[in-house]
Amino acid sequence: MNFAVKVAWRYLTSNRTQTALLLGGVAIGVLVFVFMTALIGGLRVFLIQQTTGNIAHITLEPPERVARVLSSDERRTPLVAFIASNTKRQQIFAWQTMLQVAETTPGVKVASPQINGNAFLIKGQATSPVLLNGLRPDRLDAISAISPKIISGSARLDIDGILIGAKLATNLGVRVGQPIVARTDRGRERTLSVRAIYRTGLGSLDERVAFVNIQLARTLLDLPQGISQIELKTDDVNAAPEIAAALGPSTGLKATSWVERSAQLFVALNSQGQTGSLIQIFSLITIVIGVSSALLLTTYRRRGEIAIMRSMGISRTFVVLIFILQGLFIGLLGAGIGASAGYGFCVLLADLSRRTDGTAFPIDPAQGGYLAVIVLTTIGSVLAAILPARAAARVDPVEVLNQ
Amino acid sequence: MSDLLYRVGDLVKDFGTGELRTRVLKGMSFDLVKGEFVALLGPSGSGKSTLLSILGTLLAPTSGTLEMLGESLVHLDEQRLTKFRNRHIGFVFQFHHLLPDFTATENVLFPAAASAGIETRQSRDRARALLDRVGLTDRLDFRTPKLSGGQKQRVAIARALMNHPALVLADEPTGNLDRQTADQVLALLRDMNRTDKTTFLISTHDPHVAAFCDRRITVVDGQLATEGERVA
Ligand SMILES: Nc1ncnc2c1ncn2[C@@H]1O[C@H](COP(=O)(O)OP(=O)(O)OP(=O)(O)O)[C@@H](O)[C@H]1O
Ligand SMILES: [Mg+2]
Repeated sequence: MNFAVKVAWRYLTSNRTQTALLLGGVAIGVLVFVFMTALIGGLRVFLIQQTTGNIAHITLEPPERVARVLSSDERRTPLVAFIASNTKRQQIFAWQTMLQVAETTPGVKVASPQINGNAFLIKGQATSPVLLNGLRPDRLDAISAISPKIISGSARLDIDGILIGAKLATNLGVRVGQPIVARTDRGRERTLSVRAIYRTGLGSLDERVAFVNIQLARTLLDLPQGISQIELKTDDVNAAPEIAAALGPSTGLKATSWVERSAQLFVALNSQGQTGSLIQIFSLITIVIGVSSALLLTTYRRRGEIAIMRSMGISRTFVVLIFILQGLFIGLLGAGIGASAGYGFCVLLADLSRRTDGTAFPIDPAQGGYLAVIVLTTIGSVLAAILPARAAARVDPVEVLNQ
Repeated sequence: MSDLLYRVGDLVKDFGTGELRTRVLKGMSFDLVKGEFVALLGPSGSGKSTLLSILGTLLAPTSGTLEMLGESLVHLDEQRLTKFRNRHIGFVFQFHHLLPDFTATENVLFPAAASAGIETRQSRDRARALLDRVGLTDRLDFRTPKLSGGQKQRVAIARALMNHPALVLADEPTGNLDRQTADQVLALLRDMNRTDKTTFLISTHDPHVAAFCDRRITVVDGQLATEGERVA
């Protein structure tokens, strides 16, 4: 065994209490790091899951009208015009083909063609504006799972039925089986029967949306051929932007992924990530300061021994090495202990969280950043040992030995 | 003269700067020959420890020449001096200065293992043999705090001899021991001197120790008072 390694190790093991305290300090710093990393990582997954659970991962809409150049005389400012026609409805015409393209694109789980429009629901004197969402009955649960959220009635999307949220039902004072009038912004009106009332917990869905059969929506919203949009779910939410980018050109439609529509979520996730980084940096700084001050004390305590080594003709390099190695061992051991403890702690919390409702600590023990923290702590401890090591190398043997 | 070990020429040492500058060694010249057993005498504060530190390359002189084993030491850099010291010079101090976290054997082999980077079998054997010679066969694996004062000083002597030094500098090696233990330690040094032809320079206030030596160098106020008669 290398003799410097032996000496460094002996120094650490000969003062058990101090070493144990120091290792404990480093381990706690590492544990905090692991916990924060796993929490931020878990929270990210959790929030993305929550966000993407009830919304489309990709939305295909009619392409936006492109500006056309009317006059292209190069010496003049070109004249440009949007055809912002009110006579032509925004719709997807050849939608069956588009639907097929979308459904067969790898990574797409399900596609739901929809006809949407604004309407008022009227019950006696009470009226409420809603977004009428026309779905294929077999795709009722494709984007947001409605069926499991039904609190009364049954999930039947027939030609004269409507599904409304609990909040809306309360506002209008209707119950399942009762008639309700729907009047759309196309001027059509029809009496429908409330087939089911659901409660998703999402304010917008429970109060501002109503689901009907797509055929009914076609009539009510006066869209004889086309559809309004196709909503998709992908197998992997993170792949959505990429799939959307491919679907745009292949369908000629405007394809937007959930990522573009959830800018706020990403702002939140980013600032959360930054807070996490800050805590990580501070825990590393704490470790470095702790190791450095502990080793400085050791250096001071061992000045006599260092002086005697120097008088024996032992090089400064060897003295430096002894202290750097102590830093290395403390870093490796402390990080190992801290990372293991951190993993255990995260598993425990994740378990506890799962047994309650899953929201207490959406922690992901797999995302503890273990390798990073072990590497960083070890490097940090070695760096922390440089100052004490240099102090040790500067000990003047004559001064110390003649005391 | 092939028997010459150390030549000191016009050695001067000042401490401090400016107003506080004091000259501790005021121009000393003398020789040490191989195999000598020399006492270094003088009143307290006369400069004995300072001289030993300079001879042992722990302290740089202000001016003068130092030549050991034919090599001029005043121009060597710190690294070379450290190596030279490791190879050729051993120290014994009034206070043993052992490493408390290591066993007697480890303390003795330390100068060899630390400079080689590894603890070899030979160094371990050599350390054991030395501890054997100083009568500590049954204390090889004792941590040094468990040893008595005299035992500690014997370990320190074994350590000083580990690398077969040409010169051992001992600064009041018996100053902290009782008469009987002091005599044992002194006898041990003498034995090492006789068998290995190691040169010893021993600073002391003890006339008894002085009488025991071949030659007595006396320093008074930073100057050589007597250089003693070299026995043939
Ligand atoms: N680092 C230093 N700075 C200033 N003066 C010093 C220093 N080291 C020693 N001296 C002075 O040099 C003089 C000689 O000291 P030294 O220790 O060599 O004496 P000594 O002969 O060994 O004394 P003692 O017999 O008491 O051990 C003393 O006056 C001391 O105060
Ligand atoms: Mg002295």
